[in-house]
Amino acid sequence: MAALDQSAAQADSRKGRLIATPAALYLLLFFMIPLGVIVTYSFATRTATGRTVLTGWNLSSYDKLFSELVLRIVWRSFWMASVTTILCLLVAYPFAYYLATRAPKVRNILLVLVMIPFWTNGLIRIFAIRFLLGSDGPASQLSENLGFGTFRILFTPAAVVIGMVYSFLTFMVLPLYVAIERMDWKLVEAARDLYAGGTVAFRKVTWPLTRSGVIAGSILVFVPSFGSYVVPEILGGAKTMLLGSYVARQFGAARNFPFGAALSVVLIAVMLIAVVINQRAEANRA
Amino acid sequence: MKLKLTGALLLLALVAAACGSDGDSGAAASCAVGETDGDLSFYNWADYIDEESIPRFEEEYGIKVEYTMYESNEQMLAQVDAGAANYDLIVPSDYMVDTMIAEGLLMELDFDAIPNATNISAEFQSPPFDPDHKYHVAYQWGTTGIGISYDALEELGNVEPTWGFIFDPALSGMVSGGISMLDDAPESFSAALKYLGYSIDEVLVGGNEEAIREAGELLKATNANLLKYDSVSYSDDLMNGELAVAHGWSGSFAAAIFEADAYETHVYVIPKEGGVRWVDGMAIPASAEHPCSAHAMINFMTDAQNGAALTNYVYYASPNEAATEFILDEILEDEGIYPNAETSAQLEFIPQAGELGLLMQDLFVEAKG
Amino acid sequence: MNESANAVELHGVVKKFGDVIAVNSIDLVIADGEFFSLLGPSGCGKTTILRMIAGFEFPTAGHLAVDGQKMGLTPPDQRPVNTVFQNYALFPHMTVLENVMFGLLMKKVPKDEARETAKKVLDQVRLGALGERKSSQLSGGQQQRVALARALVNKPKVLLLDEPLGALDLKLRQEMQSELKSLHTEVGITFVYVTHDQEEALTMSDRIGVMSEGNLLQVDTPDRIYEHPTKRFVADFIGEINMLAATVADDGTVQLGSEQIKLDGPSPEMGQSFTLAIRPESIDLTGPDQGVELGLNQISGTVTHRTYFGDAYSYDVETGGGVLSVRCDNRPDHQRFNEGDAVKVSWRPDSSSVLKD
Ligand SMILES: Nc1ncnc2c1ncn2[C@@H]1O[C@H](COP(=O)(O)OP(=O)(O)OP(=O)(O)O)[C@@H](O)[C@H]1O
Ligand SMILES: [Mg+2]
Repeated sequence: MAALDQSAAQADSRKGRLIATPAALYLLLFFMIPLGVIVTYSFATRTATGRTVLTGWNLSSYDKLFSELVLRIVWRSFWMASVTTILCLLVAYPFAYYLATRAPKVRNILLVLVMIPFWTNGLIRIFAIRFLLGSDGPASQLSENLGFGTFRILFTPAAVVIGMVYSFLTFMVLPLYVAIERMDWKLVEAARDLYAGGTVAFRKVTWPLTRSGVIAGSILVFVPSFGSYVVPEILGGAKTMLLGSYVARQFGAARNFPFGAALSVVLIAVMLIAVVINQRAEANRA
Repeated sequence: MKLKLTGALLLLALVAAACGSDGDSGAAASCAVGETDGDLSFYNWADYIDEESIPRFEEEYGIKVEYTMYESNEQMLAQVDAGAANYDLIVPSDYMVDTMIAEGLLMELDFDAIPNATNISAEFQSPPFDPDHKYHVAYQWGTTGIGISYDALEELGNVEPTWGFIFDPALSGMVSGGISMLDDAPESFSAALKYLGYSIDEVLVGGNEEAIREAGELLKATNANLLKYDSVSYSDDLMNGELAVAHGWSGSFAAAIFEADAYETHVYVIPKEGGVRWVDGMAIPASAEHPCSAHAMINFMTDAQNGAALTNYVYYASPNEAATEFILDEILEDEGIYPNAETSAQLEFIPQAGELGLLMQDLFVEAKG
Repeated sequence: MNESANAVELHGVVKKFGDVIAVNSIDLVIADGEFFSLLGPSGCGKTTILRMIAGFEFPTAGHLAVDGQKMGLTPPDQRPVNTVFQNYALFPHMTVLENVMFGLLMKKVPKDEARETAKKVLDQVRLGALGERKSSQLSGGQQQRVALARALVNKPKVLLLDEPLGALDLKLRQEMQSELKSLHTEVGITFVYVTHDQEEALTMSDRIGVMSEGNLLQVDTPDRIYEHPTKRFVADFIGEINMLAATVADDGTVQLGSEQIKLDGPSPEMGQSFTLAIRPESIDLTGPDQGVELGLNQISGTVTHRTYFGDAYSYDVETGGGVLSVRCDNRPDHQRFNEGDAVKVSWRPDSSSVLKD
């Protein structure tokens, strides 16, 4: 009997493995192997002309990670990604809430509207924002017509944050929408019934019950913001150096592949640790 | 287990590829004049050839040209180095020719197959980056200087153009519009070195780290006065008023001023301290599969009339002496494109900078704050 | 607190959802301390009435008062009522104790005091030992009792219960019914209890309001609802009943088919036809020649069908007034009839009801 059970379980897991094979192969080919290459490169040597030679393995690229310059860039990336995440949350939560509380028909239309920007190339959207924020753009012109004079946000950290909020907002809206939508509204009514005012009911019931969406959305926004490359280059005028640009530079102009690889390895490791810690915490709560 | 093994093997192969292509340059090609050996894969900068040359070449030689584009020398280098695609003809800039020769990525040219090479003026026949003139044939050349609006020039009191427009706070403070610099470490450092009175060549070849650090400090101090770093859209932004002073490449300004018909409002100048001169050359990667077709194309583009057509289209100066008579007068007379002898004497190539290159990259990032 | 006030009053309350009229002009007064049930089929508007009392919905027309206070647009958290929801709606991210303490904490009761009170109420519903569990780790019956405790702990003026036993199996449901009933007596709070289970309503309630399609058809004590329904729907919805077409002749006599019968109380107007309703167990069945008590209605007929129920027999009797279903307890002295037997059916005039549609 026990043996029978076991072989059934084995057959089951064999079938499972078969189904997972394409995904596994894909991940191996396009994720694990490049990752392996990156890790390998991070220990390699850069010649004077910028060539990477895979001999003389060393840790000098990792040493360099602790230079003041790198730490400053990391810190700046961190707080800008944090500000972006918080702004996204502040904008997305009310919107997702609104979305989730509409009638299904309206909701679907709104959801499609949320998705539409995704059908356009991200780069083009960033250039559109660049136009909006420029000193001769509509935002500035409106302010001039209202008598506040022209202004320019373009090429400032504020423009970078605006661009990142715009680029990643949907990543916040969707998980929040899912979390709010599947929440049982009876629970909010129950709280209201038990003498909680609207705000308190939100704080005691809605918020904790949608926190999984908040966390998922925050990770989905924070991670790409932290490594953002295109937005700071275009909207920041390459003046606000963030980690993504710094890494890209190592593989471009600086031709310092080992250092770029080391930066990437650490970046990946930090993200991974953050996600794991969060999952642990979530598991403990449940 | 089997999968793990395959993965390890693949990794090994990649690593081997990275180690492999070391050593000296590949073997020289040997082609007859006009000989072709298959369709040509031409990897060039964006917007860097006139619209008729390729169709005419294809018709004349009966082969197809696959034309792909890059945006930076480093991008091109990475592609060629990785062997991702086999290009037959590339157009690296001076220092990149140097780098690629050093890394054995270029094929020695068979000048017997390029009789038109004699059209190239003598000063481009033995540049510091390819002194024996074995690996490249000059394509176009230009300078790095300052694009400026006459309004800004007026604000500056119409003084003789100087790098101080960017680096001297007393001057840059007078400019009400935005100021930009190239997002390119060697170019920005060269400008700073020139302003500080150094010779770029002496500093970089001589390994003068002090001077580099001094230039780095200058760039850092200048950062706050800049609107942005940009190597792509600065000339358009100069035209639309986003910028008033822009550090950039001659041809880019020439094209933008021509397109916007802004001759009355904007001008490209080379500062009195002198600027950077650069040359892009045609070269054949060591891994080229159709070197004879590539030689044919080099010879074709070096033809006097074809060379002139190129310059008449892209607005950079031509190294092709024989082409001069076919080049538009407005280009020949434009001092922004063909600087006068006095200015020319002040121009320098940026040499391959070795370790100092890395230092410049770091200091550049540092300068940005 | 308003000593003399009624617990709940509805006056001309209408609730529309778009074109749907969920509740149609209802007048209802529920007395203080009463166990009042709203009974009706699914979708008839029971929950909607509860939600209006609780403050989750507001009447489209009319008004309602709780404890003598006009409610108007008073939000739920400011009404002296608590609800036991249809699926309990316990907070899944809180422990049982935290659930029960919630209302007290909201009312700014000090935390320690709230905990003590909550524990006491949990003991009362026999869940004292489970306070630290998450609500998702409880059985259906336990969840139901937590929901009850969570509401009762606040000592509301009115407790609203929306099919609180609907999700439980039969045995547990019966157990909980009696528990609820004794709890009601114990705490003396007004219960407004929604159910579509007629037996539940009959056994537990002081009074029942029967609803259909947004209308409150009849409000009465359980026995009056059962024995003297005033509407065809009420009669039909609860238990089995004979409904026969009858008319009042011009001379005032009541005609049931070819038979003449008597009614108790005021009869319908002359010349009108109406429906006579009478429960099968209110009818006696005797042999054709047997004498019956004076003053009873009696008609002769023929047994067409007999069904055995164990504790009772059910007969279909063909009479001049139509087919009557008769139910006789299976007692030792019961005289059994066979199909085809000639019989006499008789009933007291006050056992029948006159139904108006
Ligand atoms: N929010 C709403 N929007 C639209 N229609 C509604 C809404 N709530 C209830 N209704 C409608 O009002 C009518 C009464 O609903 P209600 O929930 O009061 O019924 P119920 O008697 O409680 O039924 P059940 O026994 O199934 O719970 C139904 O036709 C229902 O579809
Ligand atoms: Mg209901």
